[in-house]
Amino acid sequence: MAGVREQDQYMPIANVIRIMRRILPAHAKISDDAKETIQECVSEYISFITAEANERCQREQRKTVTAEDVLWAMEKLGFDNYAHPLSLYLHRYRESEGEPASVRRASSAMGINNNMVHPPYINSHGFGMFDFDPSSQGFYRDDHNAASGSGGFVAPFDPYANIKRDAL
Amino acid sequence: MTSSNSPKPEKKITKNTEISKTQKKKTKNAETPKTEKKKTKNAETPKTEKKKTKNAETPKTEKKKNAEIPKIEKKKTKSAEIPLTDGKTKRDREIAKEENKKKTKKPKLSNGTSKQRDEGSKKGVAEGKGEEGKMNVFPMNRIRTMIKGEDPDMRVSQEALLAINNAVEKFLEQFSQEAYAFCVRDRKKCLSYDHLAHVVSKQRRYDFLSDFVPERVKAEDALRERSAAGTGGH
Repeated sequence: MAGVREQDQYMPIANVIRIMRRILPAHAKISDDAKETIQECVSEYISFITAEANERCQREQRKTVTAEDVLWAMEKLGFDNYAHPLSLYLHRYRESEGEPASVRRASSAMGINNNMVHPPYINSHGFGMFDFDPSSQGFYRDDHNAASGSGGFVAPFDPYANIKRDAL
Repeated sequence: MTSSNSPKPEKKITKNTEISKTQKKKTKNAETPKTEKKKTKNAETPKTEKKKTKNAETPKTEKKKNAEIPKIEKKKTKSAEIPLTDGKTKRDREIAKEENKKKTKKPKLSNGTSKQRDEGSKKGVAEGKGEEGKMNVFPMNRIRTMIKGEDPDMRVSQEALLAINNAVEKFLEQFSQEAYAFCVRDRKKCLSYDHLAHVVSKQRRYDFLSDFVPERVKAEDALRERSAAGTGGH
């Protein structure tokens, strides 16, 4: 029982790391300490948003928390930059709810949007990557570090590097 | 009188947590820092008391109190689970299962674990791209279970779960990006705890994480504050 509770307290760490990898450059490393800490932060964020949404729901004497309550809670708690894209997402989700075939189109559309969002983030980090060039040279002794060093050189072409690595 | 007395023991306990965190730096073993982290979890309960006192002073006491109730419950469960040794093995099993699903080797207690996990995560990304049906990154049942764990009577619609799932994804993206910006400033290659703590302390929107991710303080400074608080008590 206790073990089950502990497992369910956190989001799976693999999913957390996957999203972090999507945002960070390819050669970035994440310490185990940071991974566990972020895992806790994500759980705390869920309870934080949910508690606020539930508060509004009860105030209006409703029993079921809805997506509008969640959006309202996010805006109130300072995450309003999330609320707008999220409302668009929900809108498409509801449109696609009627037909199962359109669900695929909606998901593919979301995929396209995600791809569009990627380049500016990578570019912004691209400037930061150049600062790592001198430090990466110091790690040529180890094969793994050398691999990461070569990854650093390929940094401006991150999307292609990812594709190559996936192929391997 | 009573209000003035209450914050003093809290400060002492928090200082102990800070001291234990400095000890984390010294230890090189992979297993020992986990136990130390659990010690910090034990000490997290007095931090909630801090929040209560702070909230009592602010005009928005009611709202914050409501938001804090689930946090207190969480911390209690954490403290109850800490002495259990089975929890560790279950965590390892969980991680192993996830990696087995992705057809990767089981993790070892060494630097290689992070690398293996990296490979697993990359494969996961490839699988995610392949499956067009996947719209959510996190398992919906897990979110539902976490929410029910706080308030069993709460009912959440499917769309609300979907909204929370996406909100968490965006939160994680932005948090990682901001933490990495500090990592770049420090001219370091590895994203570590200090960068996360710095993000939390800098931005107001992350105040709800301040008790979970406090900035590290040197033991000397903590002891000085402790002695000062002690003299104040007398």
